[in-house]
Amino acid sequence: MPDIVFRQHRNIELSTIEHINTQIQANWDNITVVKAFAEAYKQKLPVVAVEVGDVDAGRLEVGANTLEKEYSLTIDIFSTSNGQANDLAEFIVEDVIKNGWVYKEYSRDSGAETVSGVASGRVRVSSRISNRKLNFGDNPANFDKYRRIITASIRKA
Amino acid sequence: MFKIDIDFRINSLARFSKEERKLAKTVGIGPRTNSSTLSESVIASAAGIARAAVYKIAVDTKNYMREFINTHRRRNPETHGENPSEKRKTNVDSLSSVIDVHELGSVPGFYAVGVGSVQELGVFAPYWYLINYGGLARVKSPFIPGSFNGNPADPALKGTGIDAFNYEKGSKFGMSSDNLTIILPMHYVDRTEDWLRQNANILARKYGEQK
Repeated sequence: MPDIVFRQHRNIELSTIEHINTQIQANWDNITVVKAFAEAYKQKLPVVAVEVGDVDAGRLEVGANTLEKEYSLTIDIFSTSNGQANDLAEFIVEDVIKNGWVYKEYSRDSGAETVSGVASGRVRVSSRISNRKLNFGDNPANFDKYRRIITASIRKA
Repeated sequence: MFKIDIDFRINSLARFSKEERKLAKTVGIGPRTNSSTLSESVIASAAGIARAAVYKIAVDTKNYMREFINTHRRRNPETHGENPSEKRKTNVDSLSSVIDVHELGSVPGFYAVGVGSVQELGVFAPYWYLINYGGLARVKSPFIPGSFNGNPADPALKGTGIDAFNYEKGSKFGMSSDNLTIILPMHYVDRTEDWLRQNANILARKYGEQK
């Protein structure tokens, strides 16, 4: 029995980052995937920052105590050219997140540095996926020159 | 920033609440009235109800966005000094106060309102984009008057000079710094869009025909 068992929010976050990282490393070269937005600025371009943020919870059905939780997924793409940003964003939407991915329940033994995950369902994109180019004006910092942002609402299926 | 428009046709009074049906009765709409039999003035009254509902959701959207911004701010607005006269608006204060509702158009059967004008934001809260999406911002510190033993700062001596910098009010010499700082994203536009989407769907089912 592991000492620390993660709850759904962290499980969704880790499952999502693991899936996106695996797919990008298998299909692209020299792209770093990081967990937090601020972490991206410490890396070498191009970088993909994945964050699972706010939670909206509603009753699964009238009178039920079970909550149906929706998480906001934000993927920031920091690229070296417009073309690369466009291709990478489309790849992430069409080939990585559109059809959902495996949900894992993660745990960690006391003192261990790594976590282990066991498949336990799927993560689905519940409503919308938006993929936008960001424009920071005429003279943005190098890191913000070629950026795109993908946002979606996701939930455990 | 957001545009809410809705095509509304009067198909069935069953869509209206008790209060709205009561109001409709006063202008002659019955439960089985067909839209084709309604007079123009009656349709105008019912359309007015729908228009008011659209306007209300725009105001609610504005309030939601302002509240979201204020509850997710990272900087207290009172950090600018102990003296009340020294306080000034932060970028987030300006952003929150400039988001408002704008009527965009109204023709029979169609009504549109907007929440947040990009033109106004560009003038009064130019950092709205950076606060929403995050990024690098150039932050320049205030100019501090002073000198190194009566001499201005010499970039060639950076890190090796032996004189201390002394504050001297009114000095023509001085120092300031110019740094790039990471602004974390607030995503207030996306979160408000999620909220609006849910509530606009309820409104559209009640009054409108979704395109």
